Amino acid sequence: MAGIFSSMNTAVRGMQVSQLGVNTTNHNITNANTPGFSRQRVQLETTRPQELAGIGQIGMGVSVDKINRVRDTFLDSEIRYETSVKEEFDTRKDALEQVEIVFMEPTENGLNDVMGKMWDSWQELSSHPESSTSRTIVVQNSITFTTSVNHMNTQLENIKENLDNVKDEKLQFVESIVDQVDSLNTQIVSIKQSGSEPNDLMDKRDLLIDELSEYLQVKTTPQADGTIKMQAVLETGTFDLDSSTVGNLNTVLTDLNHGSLKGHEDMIVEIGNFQEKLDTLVKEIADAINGVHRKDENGLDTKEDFFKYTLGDEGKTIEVNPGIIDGSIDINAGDENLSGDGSRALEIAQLRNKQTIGNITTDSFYKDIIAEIGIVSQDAIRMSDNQETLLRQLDQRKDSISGVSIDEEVANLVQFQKTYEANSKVISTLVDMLDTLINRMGL
Amino acid sequence: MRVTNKMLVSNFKANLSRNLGNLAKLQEQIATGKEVNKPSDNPTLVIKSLSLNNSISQNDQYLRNIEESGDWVEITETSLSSITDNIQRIRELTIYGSTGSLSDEDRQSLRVEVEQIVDGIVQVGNNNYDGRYVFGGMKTTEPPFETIKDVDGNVIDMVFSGDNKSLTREISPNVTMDINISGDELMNPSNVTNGLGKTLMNILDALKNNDTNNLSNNLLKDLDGNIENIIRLRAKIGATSNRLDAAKNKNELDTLKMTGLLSKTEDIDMAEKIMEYKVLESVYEASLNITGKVIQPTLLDFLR
Repeated sequence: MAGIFSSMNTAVRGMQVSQLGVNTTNHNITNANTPGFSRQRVQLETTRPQELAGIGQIGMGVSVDKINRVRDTFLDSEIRYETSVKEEFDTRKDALEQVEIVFMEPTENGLNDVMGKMWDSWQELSSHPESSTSRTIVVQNSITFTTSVNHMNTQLENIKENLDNVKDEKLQFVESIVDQVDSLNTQIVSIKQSGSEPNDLMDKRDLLIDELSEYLQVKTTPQADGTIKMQAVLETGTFDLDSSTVGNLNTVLTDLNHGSLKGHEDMIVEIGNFQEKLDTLVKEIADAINGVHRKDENGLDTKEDFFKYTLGDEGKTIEVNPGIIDGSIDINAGDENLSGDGSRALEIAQLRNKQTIGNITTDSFYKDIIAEIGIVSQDAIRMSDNQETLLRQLDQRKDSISGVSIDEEVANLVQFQKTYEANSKVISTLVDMLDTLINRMGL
Repeated sequence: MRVTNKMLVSNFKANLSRNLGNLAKLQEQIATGKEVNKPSDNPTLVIKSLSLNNSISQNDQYLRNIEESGDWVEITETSLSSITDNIQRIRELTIYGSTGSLSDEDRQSLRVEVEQIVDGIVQVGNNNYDGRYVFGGMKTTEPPFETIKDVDGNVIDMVFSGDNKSLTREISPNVTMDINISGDELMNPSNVTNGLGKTLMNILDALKNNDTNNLSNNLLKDLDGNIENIIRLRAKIGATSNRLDAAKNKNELDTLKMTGLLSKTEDIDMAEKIMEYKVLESVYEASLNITGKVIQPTLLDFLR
């Protein structure tokens, strides 16, 4: 008798396990598209067998060891690293794309063309010093030059400001993520202590850490109690990330290794460099032209400057001398008593082909700036594309391991259903046997 | 390897997006006709394109300088030629006027004719290009030559009020040329003490005073000296003109070469690009087709 009831127990246990299996399959299927979800598997094992003297061990059925999630943690950390690299280059790519738009080369509206027209108008003036039209054109083309540079400088400043604002927003996201991970850590610890695997909470935590990797490179160290310790990887060491320290993250921003926050910091500095180069170009052109424009027929500095600017802020502040614009000061094309003297204007026009910045011309200097922007931008685009391909491959591998295959789950479903049917068949058989034993035996 | 539905879908999404990206890039190239539209497309090509554009536009400005200078020089040449003719006529009259057999009255009619020719010379000397006086040196806005007449209308002086400065034009990078002849070179030649103005006035005086001796000796010598001077000036301006022609030819050839090079650098081969586009388009369509077919059925479709 004991035998039949214990067999019944075995069968009932079997049915319960099948139900659990179906439940898990159900969970997997409904979460097939949930981001960060890793499929869960029921780990089955045999229960403790019964010891029968003389006969040996009798198996007592199945039990669920645990339900665990299928996940490759090494792959996780690989993906996180590559994500932080990708986000760094994506940030660079976006910012540099905007910088390229500011410079607008090689179109007709780029600074190259504007400067060319400015120099040409001085040439024209040198052959027509008597003409007031030529003078007007020189003023107009020079104003186009200064306003173009002013505008470009403002646009670069705006890009920098934008990058800074977004960076601050991202810092807030980072803080919020770190706080959430901390609270999940606490919950996971308490659930683990009661012996279960908090699979869904761990999935959530992993997803948060994945997101954190976009902003900076994260190093995770799983602890024995089930928490995960997070650190931001710096070029010179690490920075602990938890609710108490995350507020000071902005002190190590320049030191970060990969991640979009680093991208922001770097781009702000690099755009500042481009602004400085533009300042240098503008200052050299203004100084060279002013130097000639100030001279009179005896080579003495008695005339006015043609351009005016504030030192250190040349790109932002350069303008044509207002006195020249309103006409109160005449353009110094040559000796003003000799109507046909365009020699000063000629000297200015010839500055274009003279090596006025170090040992290169202003045109070459500008071309170098454009070349640098092009190369750096191309580099960022290429790295970003490469990382995207690499990440996709890694994601494929992760999906291959942790992803839900509908076909597979449906097959499992069928399997569990059949097992359930079989177990219930066993119970029916046992019931019949009991019936025979109880009702048909004896009197 | 275990393959899940999500993998299939993400694969297709990525490939479709890449195809679409390539199509978009080709479209941009075909629409603009240019291989590169921003520095990151190809930094070296963009720099080359900027350099060529600079050179071509500078060359255009130099061409304008050369052509204008050519016109200026031409007016100078024809003016000098006309002045030479006039002086030749005065030479004939001087010789005629120095003959002893000529009556005093006839000599005075000669004088009147010479006066008129002097007026003619001054008029030619005041020729202008586009409102600017070619012989004035840097004083281009006032007529440089003038005859001074007395109350009876007789010419008593021919004066030059321009200066002797050169007008310089740049015809190619760092290459400049002086394109003018100043009237001062006519009035103050290096090879004879009395310039054109002084010599002509002396001739008029000699005719008035019937001074045949001077007319046949020193004045004729002075006149010949001035003619020699003008011939030298004409040679000089002729050489300038030739140099300008050569510069113009080289300039036009350079622009042609650079424009060709620029086109090779930045323009697309339309036919080639459109073929590429068509190929990509069919690839895109094929991948769309396949995507539709493969990602639909699951095991569920086949269980009863």
